[in-house]
Amino acid sequence: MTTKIHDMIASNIRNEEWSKVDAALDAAAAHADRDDRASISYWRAISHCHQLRFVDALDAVEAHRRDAYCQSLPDTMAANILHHVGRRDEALAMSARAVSHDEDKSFPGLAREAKFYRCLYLARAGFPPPTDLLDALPDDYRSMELNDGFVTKKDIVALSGKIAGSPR
Amino acid sequence: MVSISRSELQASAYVRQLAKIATDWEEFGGRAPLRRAPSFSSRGLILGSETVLARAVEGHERRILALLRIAFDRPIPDRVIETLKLAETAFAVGDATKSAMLIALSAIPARIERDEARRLWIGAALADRQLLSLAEIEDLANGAAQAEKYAPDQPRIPAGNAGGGQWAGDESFETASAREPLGLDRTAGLRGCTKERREAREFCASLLRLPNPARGLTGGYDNVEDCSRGFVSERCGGNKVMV
Repeated sequence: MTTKIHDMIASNIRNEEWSKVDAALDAAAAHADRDDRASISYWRAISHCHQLRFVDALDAVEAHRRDAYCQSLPDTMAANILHHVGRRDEALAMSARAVSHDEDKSFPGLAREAKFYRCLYLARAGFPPPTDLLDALPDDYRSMELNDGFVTKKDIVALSGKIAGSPR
Repeated sequence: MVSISRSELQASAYVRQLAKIATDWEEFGGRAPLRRAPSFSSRGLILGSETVLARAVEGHERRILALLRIAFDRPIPDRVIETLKLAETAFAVGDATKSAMLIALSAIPARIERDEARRLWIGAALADRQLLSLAEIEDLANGAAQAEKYAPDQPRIPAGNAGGGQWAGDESFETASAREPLGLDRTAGLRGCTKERREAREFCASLLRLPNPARGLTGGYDNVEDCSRGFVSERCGGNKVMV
């Protein structure tokens, strides 16, 4: 497992030269094994998000899902994209799928990220987040949304405090 | 066997790209929140359906003017760029209100509706995907503006005045603050930190999705936030660099 795909495109990412990123990923795809394919589709999704090409980004996330070891990541990425563009119901459904994988031990960080966004999207939709999911998150947990804004566990708790029937 | 020429293939790819832009609009652009006037965000200068006019004003002046012209369907005075630079600086130093005020008092004509946002979305997508060159976008914008050129009710600046003969927008006035140089180019600072953090988080997620992520890269952390601090500069809240 290496970071060779990222190494190839790192400087182009830094300079926001997205067409060069896409071209490099296309070139690398010709002789890619499973790990490389997973890296390529992941970075392609990231590149498309930066270019606001969200349909293409969702396609790339789908491609990533086929080769990825961690399944909660593509589900969370898809949920984030759908939420960002206002398709909130689909984002909510996708976030439910993201927490359905049993990856707490194999990919703890990304499983936690999936729980965070499940709770956030539930709270924003007016549903109380499940206590077990919320409790799995450290109190100072935070993440960055696609609009580049940080959102914290405290935001979720504050939101869910306003929801009737919420345990908090 | 049916042979397909290179030009036919290129034309077919072009049509597919255009279809994709139309789908993008139906699926996303048309549903995105509508920003009726330009404003700065950490992504740059935004207008309409979250369309990025440019990530920074400097170096993208022609693109901004062309896209504004497409969106508003009328000529936009070049001096708007200077006001946008001031607004960008105000945003970068955390004064979003001043930034919005500067834009509101600039020569950018009026607020746009969904139809104009769609036109802008398509124009930006054509440029982003390099389906049209900047010169072609400008031609397109000029063509759109020509339709408005002879509107009988559109005022012009009287001869003898600065900009005499040019079309006047809703911008009959500029504030003193719009002309007041701030003297500092701190734009790169705050946006740079957001960019660093986002890049670091994307890189860490790419590491943590592996069954055995390299501890030398993740710092031994299993979560995105802590891992990302190792890739963010100290001034942006990253870990201290040991010298």
